[in-house]
Amino acid sequence: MNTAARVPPSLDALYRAHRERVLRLCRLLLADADEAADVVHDVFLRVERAFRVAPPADWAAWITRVTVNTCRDRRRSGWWRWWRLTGVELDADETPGPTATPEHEAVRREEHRRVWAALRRLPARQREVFVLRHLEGFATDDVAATLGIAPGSVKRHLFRAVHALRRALGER
Amino acid sequence: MTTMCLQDDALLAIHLGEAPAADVRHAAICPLCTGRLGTLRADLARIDAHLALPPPPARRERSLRALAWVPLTLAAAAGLALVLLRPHAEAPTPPAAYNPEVVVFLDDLADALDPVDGYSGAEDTLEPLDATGDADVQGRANTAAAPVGLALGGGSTRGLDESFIGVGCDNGIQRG
Repeated sequence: MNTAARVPPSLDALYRAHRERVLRLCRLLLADADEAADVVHDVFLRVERAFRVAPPADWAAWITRVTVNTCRDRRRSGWWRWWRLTGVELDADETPGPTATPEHEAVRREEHRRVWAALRRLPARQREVFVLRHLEGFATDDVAATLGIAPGSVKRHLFRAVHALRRALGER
Repeated sequence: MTTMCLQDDALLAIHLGEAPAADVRHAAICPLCTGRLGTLRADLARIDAHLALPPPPARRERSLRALAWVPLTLAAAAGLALVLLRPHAEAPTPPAAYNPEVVVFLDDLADALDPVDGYSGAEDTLEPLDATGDADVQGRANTAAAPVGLALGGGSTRGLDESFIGVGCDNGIQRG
């Protein structure tokens, strides 16, 4: 038995190794940068608790699962829904790029808005599958294990998500 | 697209590296499927590029849509308040203390249960119900305990305060 593999990493090492990935996951699952930062904080509070109480054997898979569940909890909360409906519009992407013409920039911004809107409209399961399987590059079996569903369901959800997002690209 | 060409889910499986070898071979030799696979990959690359950038904030139009419920809610609340808080034009009529028909029924029931009391055998000499019954009922209408008295054998279609003397005598001779 390889004892070196059983040595638990330090809390600081876990944070440095997974923070960027967790933040990216949260941003995609919640489609909101500020909320994502909040949820990352919650996730690492759980990591810290698990580190003291019952460290898992596979930290990466455990953190992914906790991240998905925490984002799901946040989306379900009434506060989140209220905030999503009444949030003040502060467009941080108003400034066009230095090389694009205003027309191209307008088209790009509109497409950007449509793609994110389509991602927000996806059912939670489809969004989770799309993010984990396509964007994060998890294997189908790993996604199925993380989400607790069958591999066939992963493929079905992924296909529907891709179809919806491609349709958003074609909207005018 | 021919019937042999691949469906969209098969093309996605090829893109993800999970397709059977036969599908991969077909996509390699079929110009149509090759083109569709290229379009799929280009679309996914565009989607990935957008999702790699920070998400735009939610559109304000959604909050405006939520605000559309405010006037409807206010109107419904006002209507409900009008219905609940409107002063009554007139006091509601109190329900009758008892039904006159019930009084007559109880009266007759008391007679049937205790025919000896008062004027046995004198039914033929009673005044018509039109004359005495109505007066009887009217006379008792203000007495809350009247039905109870009747049920306890209080008498007949005559009033409680009326004398039974002479009732039932064909020839006007008092009994007893």
